[in-house]
Amino acid sequence: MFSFLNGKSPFDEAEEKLEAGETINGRPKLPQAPIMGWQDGVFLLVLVGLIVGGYYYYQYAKQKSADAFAQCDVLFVAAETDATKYAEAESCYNETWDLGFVSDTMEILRQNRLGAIEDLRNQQKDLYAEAMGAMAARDTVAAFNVVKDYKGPMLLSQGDRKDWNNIAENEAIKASVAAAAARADSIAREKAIADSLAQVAAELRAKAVADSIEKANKKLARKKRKKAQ
Amino acid sequence: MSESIVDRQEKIRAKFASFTDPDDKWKFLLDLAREHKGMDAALKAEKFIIQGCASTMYLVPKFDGAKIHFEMDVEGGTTNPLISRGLGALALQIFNDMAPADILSVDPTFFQKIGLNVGLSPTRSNGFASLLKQIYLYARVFDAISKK
Repeated sequence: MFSFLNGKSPFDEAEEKLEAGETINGRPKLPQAPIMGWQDGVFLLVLVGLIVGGYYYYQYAKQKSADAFAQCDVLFVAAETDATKYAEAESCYNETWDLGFVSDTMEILRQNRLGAIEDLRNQQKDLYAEAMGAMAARDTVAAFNVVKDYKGPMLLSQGDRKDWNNIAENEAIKASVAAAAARADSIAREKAIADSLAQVAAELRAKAVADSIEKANKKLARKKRKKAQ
Repeated sequence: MSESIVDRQEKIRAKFASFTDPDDKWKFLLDLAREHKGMDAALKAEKFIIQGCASTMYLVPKFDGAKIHFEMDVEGGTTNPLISRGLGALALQIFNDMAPADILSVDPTFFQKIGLNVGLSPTRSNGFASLLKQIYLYARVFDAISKK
């Protein structure tokens, strides 16, 4: 047990001294016991050290967390204008799981931001599934268009990312997309020619009708003039 | 006398109505998550995973012939999905240890009406909806069993 008296009561000591005849004014001379023994001193020093050390460690952990979260915050805010930063912001927040101190405010921010990135990932996963479905149906043009139209961040896992990039960069797919575009272009051109021919024909027809009406009117006028004479 | 499912809903409704700061709801969910005890690893079987949750959420039902007891836990790999765990714990605050018929009497839009969905990411909203769907499904099955 911890004791400042080294296990000896001052009364025991006084009794011993009284027995030995050490008195002041007839009363036993009180012992001159130290306030504490050296073990107690060491114990107190360790205790104070632990308290001070704990306080400084807490301050250090708090500062470390604040710095780490500030760094992630910069990345997340930057990602709002540069979508490629989302993946960096996500891994930054994921590195904060080992931090010793995370306040509720930090936790809410971390959970909500990681949730937002997860939403973006799920959106891309849906598109990935759509593109892969189109590929399975041998509609490479539709698959390519899904991938091409996606403007968000790349958040797919390594394997899915490979498939995604294959669709985006595969030369055969690009060629078939170009061929489809050319086909669509030539169909559009042919349609434009047909439309303009139809327009000309319609105009000619209208002109012929107008001419025949004019002719008939002239004929009628001539007849009226003859009748009048 | 044990608390009725209506009382439980009223308690949650009052709690949500008392929130004045947008962060209050999140803090409440974080507290629920931290207080929630996980489950025995032996119970974490594939068949108890809630489909449609971004995190791996387990929901294990135990029916004693009158009430359904649920065990729930969430795993997030390297992350700590506290909000998802909090959402699961919130659902259990209403549905745990209740009779199947009582569970089925709860309006499925209750959580939406008290404002839980506000600010909740679509992934978590969908996950929570999947959890509720699974709870109602278990309740329907155990309700049918108890009526046999």
